[in-house]
Amino acid sequence: MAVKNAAKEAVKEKYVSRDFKEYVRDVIPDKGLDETIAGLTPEKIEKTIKAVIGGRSSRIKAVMNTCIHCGLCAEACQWYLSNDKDPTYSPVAKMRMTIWEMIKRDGKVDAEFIKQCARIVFTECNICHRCSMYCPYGLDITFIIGMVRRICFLLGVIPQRQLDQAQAHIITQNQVWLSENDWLDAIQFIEEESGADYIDLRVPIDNEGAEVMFLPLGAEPKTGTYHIERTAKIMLVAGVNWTVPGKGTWDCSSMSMFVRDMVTMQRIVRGLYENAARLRIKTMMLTE
Amino acid sequence: MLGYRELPFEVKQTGEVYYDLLKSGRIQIDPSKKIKVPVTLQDPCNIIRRAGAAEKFRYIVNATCEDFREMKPNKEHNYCCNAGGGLAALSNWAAHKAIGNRVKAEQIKATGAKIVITPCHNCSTGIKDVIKIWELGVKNMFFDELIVNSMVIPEKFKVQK
Repeated sequence: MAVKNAAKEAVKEKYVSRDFKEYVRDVIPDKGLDETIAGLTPEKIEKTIKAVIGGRSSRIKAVMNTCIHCGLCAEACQWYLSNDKDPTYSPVAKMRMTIWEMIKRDGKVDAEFIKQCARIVFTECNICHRCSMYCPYGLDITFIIGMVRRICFLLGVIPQRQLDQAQAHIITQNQVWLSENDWLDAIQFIEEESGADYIDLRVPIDNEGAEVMFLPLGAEPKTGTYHIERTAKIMLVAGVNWTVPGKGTWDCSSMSMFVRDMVTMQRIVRGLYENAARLRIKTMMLTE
Repeated sequence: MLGYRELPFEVKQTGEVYYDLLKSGRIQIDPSKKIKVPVTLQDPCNIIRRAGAAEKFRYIVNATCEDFREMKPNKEHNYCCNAGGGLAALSNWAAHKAIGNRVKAEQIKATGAKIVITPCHNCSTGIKDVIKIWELGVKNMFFDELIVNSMVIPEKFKVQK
C-alpha cells in the first residue's frame, strides 16, 4: 500500500543509533526529547535508574534470564509487522535496547542513550499487551516498558505533549487544564444547547443516589461536547437516573498511568472513588 | 482504596453500560434507522484484552448496524490502533504512528467496511490518523453516535416544531 506522498517526503533525514547500528529512524523533532537531555548528568541518570529498578531488579532479571528469544512477541507487535519486520521494532528488542543495557552497564549510561530509550518506549510501544499474551512464558514485557517510561519520566526526558498532559493531571486532575468553574460551565452549556432537540434533557450535577455516574474524558467538555450531549440523550430515553460529579476529580483519563507517575495515578483513582462514595452511585461509567 | 475489600459500585466502560441498556430493553432500536453500509469494529486493547467486553460490543454493533464485518484477527487478538499507551497525545508524531500501523490499514481495507466503529477515544484518534495517511476513504463513529441516530425516541421527549 502507498503512503500519502506528503507524509513520505516530509521526513528524509535519518537517525542512526550510536549504540545499536540497526536502529535507524526518521528524525522527528520534539522539544521534550531534544532539549531536556541537556540538563542530565551521569550521576543523576545512574541514581534515577537505581532508584527505579532498585528492589524490583529480580523481577526484571527473571524476564532477562527466562526469555529464549523465540520471536513470538515480535510477530505479535503491529509496529514490527508494519515496518517490514524490522527487528528493532520487536518487543524483545525494545527491552534489550533499554533496560537490559541499563542493567548490563550498571546504570552508567549517558543522556543520548536516555533520549533513545525515551523514543522507543514513548513513541514505539502502545503497552497494548499483545506481546505479553503471545509470550510462551507469559513474560510481562509491558511491565518492563512501563519501568523504562518511569525512568525517563523522572529524568524529564519525555515527548513534550505527553509531559504537558501529565503535568495537567498533576495540577488540575484532568488532561486539559480545565478549572472547576470551566467544567461546570461546560456541562451547563451542553444542557442548555441540547434542550432544543429534546424536552427535559438534563445533565444532572451532583445528583446523590444516582444509578450511573458518568466520567468523561478530559477533552470531552473542551473539544468534544457532543459526546456528553449524546450520553444525556441516551440516559434520558432509557430513563436512567444519572449524574456527573460537580467537584473533585471528573476526568477518567490518566496520562499519569502511561508515564508511570505513581503518585498522581493514585490521586486520580482516589478522587474518582471519593466522588462515587460521596454520591452513593451504583455504576461508574468511564469513556475510556 | 477507601478501605473497601470489594468496591460498593461497578466500574464500566460506556459501551458496557449501553449494552446493559439495550439488552434490558430500556433503549429500543428502530430497525428502519439501522446503518445499511458495511461497518467494522476496532477492539480497544484494554477493554477487550484485559476487561473482556468483546461480545457485549458485538451485540451493540449488531443491534444498530445491518452489515457487520469482523477485522481479522479480532477480539482479544486485534491489533492496537497505535494511539494507545499515551501516544494519542503525540499529534506531532501522527505520521510516524500511522505509518507504523500498516497492518491496521490492511485489516480495515480487507473488510470492505465504510465505517470503522471506535468505542474508545484513543482508538478514534489512532484510526483517524491511519485513515488519513493511508487514504482509506472511510470514516469512524462512536457507540453513542450509533445509538442516538437509531434509537426510538418517545413522543413525550420530542420537541414540537
